[in-house]
Amino acid sequence: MTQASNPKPRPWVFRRLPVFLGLLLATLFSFWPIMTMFFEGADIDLGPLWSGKGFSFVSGVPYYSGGFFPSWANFRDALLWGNFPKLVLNSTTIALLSIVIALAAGIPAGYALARSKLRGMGAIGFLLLALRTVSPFAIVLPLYLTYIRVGLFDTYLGMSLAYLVIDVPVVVWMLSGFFREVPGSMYEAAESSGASEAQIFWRIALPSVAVGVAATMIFAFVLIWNEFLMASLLTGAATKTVSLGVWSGVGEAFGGLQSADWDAINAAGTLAFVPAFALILIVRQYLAKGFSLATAE
Amino acid sequence: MDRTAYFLVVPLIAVLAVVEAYPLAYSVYLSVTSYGVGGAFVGLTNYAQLFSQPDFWAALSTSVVFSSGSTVVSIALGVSFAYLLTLVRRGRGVFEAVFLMPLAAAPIVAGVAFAPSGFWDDINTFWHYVLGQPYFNVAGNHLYLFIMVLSDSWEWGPMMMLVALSVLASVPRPVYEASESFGASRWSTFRTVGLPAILNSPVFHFMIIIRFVDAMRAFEIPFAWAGWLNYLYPGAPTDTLSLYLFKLLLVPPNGVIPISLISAAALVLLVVTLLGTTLLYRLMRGLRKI
Repeated sequence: MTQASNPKPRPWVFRRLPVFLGLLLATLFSFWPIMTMFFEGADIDLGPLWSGKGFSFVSGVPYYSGGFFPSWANFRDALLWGNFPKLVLNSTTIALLSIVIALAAGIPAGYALARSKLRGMGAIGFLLLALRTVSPFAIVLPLYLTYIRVGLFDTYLGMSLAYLVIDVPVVVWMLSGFFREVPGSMYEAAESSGASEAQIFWRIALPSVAVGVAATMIFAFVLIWNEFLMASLLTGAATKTVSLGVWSGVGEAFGGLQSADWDAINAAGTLAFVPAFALILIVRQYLAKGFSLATAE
Repeated sequence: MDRTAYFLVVPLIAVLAVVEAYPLAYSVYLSVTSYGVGGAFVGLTNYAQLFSQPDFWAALSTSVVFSSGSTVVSIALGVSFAYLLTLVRRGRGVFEAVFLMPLAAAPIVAGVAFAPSGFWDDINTFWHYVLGQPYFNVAGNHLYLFIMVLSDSWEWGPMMMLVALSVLASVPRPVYEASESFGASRWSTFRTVGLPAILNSPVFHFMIIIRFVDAMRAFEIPFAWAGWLNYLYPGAPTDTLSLYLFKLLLVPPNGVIPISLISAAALVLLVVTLLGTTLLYRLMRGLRKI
């Protein structure tokens, strides 16, 4: 419409130029840090190439000293010689165990939040938000002292329980949203045909949110996969997680403030990123939806 | 579905009691006793000691600056990316996927990806050799703080973008068509219809609060930067409150881990964050009513 009212429309390319530039910048900004990480891990240093610093003439003979020497060595070392597979196993076990517990508590609660209009229900939503403001140190130190005493330190169960702090609020919020999306007429129809509360939940409500439950599980998994602080204080040698392995370059140096070998860190960071990105792509359309439905007034 | 609702939230309450209420109560206990040196009740001595330390105030203000900055920048990034995507005609799904990449990155990965010898090395090379400018020093002039904010926003901007997109999609089609039929450009349609819809939606307000709250606890990115800049002692300029507490745990100043002091600090952080959240909540409710 706008262009039609112009007496002389500018060429297509010029009209779209700002959009292209914006997309280029946004793409570079989103993508380049990850790309750099991959390049560093694979020993691909582009700087000397495009700055021209990598080329010189040594007594008249062109000489290349740039950093472009691609190699898979860091990735191979992390996967074969480092303990990356073990870290993946640890993270996965801890996350799955934690998510199962979170679902057991969160599915009924999400359902109640979505369907009941009792007064206390809004307070629970707010309580979960308020609990998110708790500093991890107020949780981790007491858990650490307790875990040492009862033998839960550096165990899968101990870590899974600690991670309930992270996944329970997400599960309750997102699921209450998905339960809210189930049309009220379905519940009414079931009630009028004499179904019990339990039947309504198991036969109607739960199957309707199956996809939502899966999406919530995947998102919670990514959150736990990426968690660093609690893992660094509550795990020992047996239950180290993937994101800890990023900082230690999947080697043994670990937990301290000193970082490990730069290339190894980047290779490990890339390896940790790829599965998380795949999972985020799967659930992307459900993320905003779950939160939107949960916060609808 | 009235009485049953109470029973349905019992498991949730039980879980919260174990993983939230118990540790919190324990923290309060730790913060008013002298843990490790007798364990006697010392009242508010730990708090007094905490408040008398300039490092604590420095770390707290870094945290507040960091999370305010990160909240604002990630909103700006998320909304502008969402607007950009509405302008794309073909391949929108591909661009959306690319813009979502940072969301999958662990915070520690964001710390690594934006390291001085990683991403900023590339930027510096470009800046120096292609544009002919002098190198900029990421360690100086509080530039590291800006980069930390930027990398945190890099990670969470995409979440804001997803939410903004979902709000834009929920605006009824005729509203846009009406605006366009009056000859409004894409930008002015967005400014008058899309943007207010995003900024006034409950879900966006919820996300803003979550973003602020999460950034107040930010640890991994400052932690990584402490590594890059070799700020390994408590009270360094990169310290957010979480990082400061972590350093007290790992490299305690007198060799004794001040567990009671750390508990007190964690509780102070909790109170500050709650106050900030309440303020934000009030502010946004007020805005929504107008």
